[in-house]
Amino acid sequence: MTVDEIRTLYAYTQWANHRVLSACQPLDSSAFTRNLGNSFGSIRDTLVHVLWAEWIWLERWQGRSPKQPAGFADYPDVQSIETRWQGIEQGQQDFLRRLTPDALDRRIAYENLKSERWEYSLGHMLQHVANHSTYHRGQVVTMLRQLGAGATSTDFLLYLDELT
Amino acid sequence: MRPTERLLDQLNRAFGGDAWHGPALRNLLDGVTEEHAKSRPVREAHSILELVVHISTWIDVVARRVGGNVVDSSSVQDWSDVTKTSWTSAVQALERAESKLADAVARLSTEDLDKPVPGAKRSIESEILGALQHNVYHAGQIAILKKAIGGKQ
Repeated sequence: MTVDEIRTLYAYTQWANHRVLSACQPLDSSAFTRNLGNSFGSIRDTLVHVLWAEWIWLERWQGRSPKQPAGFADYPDVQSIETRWQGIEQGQQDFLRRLTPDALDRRIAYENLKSERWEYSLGHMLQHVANHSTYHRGQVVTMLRQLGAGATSTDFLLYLDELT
Repeated sequence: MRPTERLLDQLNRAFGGDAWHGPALRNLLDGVTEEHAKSRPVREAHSILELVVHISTWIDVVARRVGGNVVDSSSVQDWSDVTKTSWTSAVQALERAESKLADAVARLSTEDLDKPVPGAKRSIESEILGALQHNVYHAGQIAILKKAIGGKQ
């Protein structure tokens, strides 16, 4: 992948995350936090997991290893998630603006929540985080259908079409 | 790692390798029976079989485009009627399509990635990233359907 494509991938991720958040907006609090029996239980917990992962990896790309867990209960509604996400998106954009092609192969070490040390190339980490968000967006859309709510399309090619 | 190698690595990881985001697509299909694949545990959602046929249809389209062919999206059957499709044949078709795409990507040079897809404005690299995101997105859905099927047994 090239730096330009990584930037496109993150612009897409932000566009798709917002579309999913908009689709969740009509849910009442009970539906938003209802345990549907999936990996992260509710739509709220799945979205907070994605948000938290984007934040913790942004920190790791910059050589930091925070240990804070996701804190699901801190987010009672869609608006609280969206507000927190805006700051993370700004951080991602600032980081990606400074990204250079040779940085993609740079190895970055971090400690996970169990204080275990891991090390990967930045290029792999960047792709991983975008994939992780996409994987769980697919789940949230299915969970919306489980609740009988309206879903949304977040296809990458739809995003590219909207740009042109 | 060259850009094409990084792309191929990501495609392989997401399909059947060491994916970081969650289970790889092909690995998720292990243990799924014909009955599971055709069931509809979430009433308003597609079955696993429908998803797998849909995914392989688009992987094949991307493989043909990356290989230099013009494929008009409007000519593609987005969601096929799978009533006569067996689970085994659907999984085999998925594996064939993914292998075809991996071969096509492996033949690309770095310069090829910036070239437009035949008959479209987007780059070949965007087309491949689109297939990757599509696979990952629907893998997440298959994981949920498997859990829902497990819960109903």
